Amino acid sequence: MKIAICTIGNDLSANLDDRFGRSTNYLIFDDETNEFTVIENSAKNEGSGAGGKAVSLLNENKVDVVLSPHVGPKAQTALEAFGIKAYHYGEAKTVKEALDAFKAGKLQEIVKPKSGLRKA
Amino acid sequence: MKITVLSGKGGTGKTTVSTNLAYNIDNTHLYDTDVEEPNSHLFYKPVENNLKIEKALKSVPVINNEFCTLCGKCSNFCRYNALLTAKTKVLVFEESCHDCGGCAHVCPHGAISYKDIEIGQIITGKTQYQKPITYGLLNVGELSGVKIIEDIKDTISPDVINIFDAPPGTSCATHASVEDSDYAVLVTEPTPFGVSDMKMVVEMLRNMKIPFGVVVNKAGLGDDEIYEYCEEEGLEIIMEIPYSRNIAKLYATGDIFSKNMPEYQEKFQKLFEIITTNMRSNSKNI
Repeated sequence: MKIAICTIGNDLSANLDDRFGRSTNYLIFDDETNEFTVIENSAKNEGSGAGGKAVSLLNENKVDVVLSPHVGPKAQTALEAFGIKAYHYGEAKTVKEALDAFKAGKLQEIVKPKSGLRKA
Repeated sequence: MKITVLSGKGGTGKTTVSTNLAYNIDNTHLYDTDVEEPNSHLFYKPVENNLKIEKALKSVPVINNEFCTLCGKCSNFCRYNALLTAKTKVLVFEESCHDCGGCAHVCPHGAISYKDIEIGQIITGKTQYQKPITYGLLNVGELSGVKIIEDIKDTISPDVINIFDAPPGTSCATHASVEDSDYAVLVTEPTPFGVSDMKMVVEMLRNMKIPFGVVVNKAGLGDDEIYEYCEEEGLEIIMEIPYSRNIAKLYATGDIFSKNMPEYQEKFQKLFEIITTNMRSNSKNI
């Protein structure tokens, strides 16, 4: 399983980014090999719709799960359409803390609210 | 003739200037294109039981899944990311769509058609003095009022003096409102925010090659930076409205202040004369 984490840095000790669609980087951790890669978020400077584009980027990198802060409504629709699950990284401050909390089953899945302005 | 009243900062007095200008000049039609929060009609009151209300529509893409091959050309093309090609379908984010028609054009399979959705209203009426006013109203949750402003612009007559009250700032909506103007009136206030936000508007108007003059509202408040800036840039201050308790009081009652202050009726007529003179010499302040 590939787990993406929103981060401002390049390694496991790096701090988390407090945005999803406009996150600086995504660290992608493979829990089968225990190896990771870091990708720059090419969607972060989009005028609008950065969230959807970021989800598309995660999909290209075969990500299954993303650990993130609050996710916007369009991004949430996109995550659902690509079958990528999002978990709120909670109190974690670094990539490692977020990963450990996720592996320990302590993070909560972000689910789409049943109603709202989103139409797609 | 089209004159647009705009500002960098919100709350500098666009509506005060545009309503007073429209009120004191013959043969005017006032248009409030600040469609996110129009307020000209609160002062320049159209008679309520005789309003013409039209729906403002926007066309958004509809994907025919029978023909769509998920090739991704449409979502790559859309610079507003209103389309996103997902695993089994193309997602359409209707509120992000700017109604450009490009996606159907680039679709190689003819899978995209359009449907109209209502994004707001265009309301037209006449004041008790028989003066026409039109204002746009964008629905809550919609991202862009540009389409409403474009629709409003399509209705203007060349035979009257069209006065546009623009949205603040230098957004797409402001650009749409001020486009094709013969002259722009830049309303500002002598505060650091007033000056800072005005600089962006000056740059925009110069880019668009629209001649303009500056109205300093709430003069006497703040500092001299605005005057220094105008002098440095060679901008003409075509009117000053003082920071006055009396004007503020009349504004607060929802009235057009010059109606009750006759000396200002002359001042707004004079302002119009300056505008038309400057318009003729055209190169002024660009």
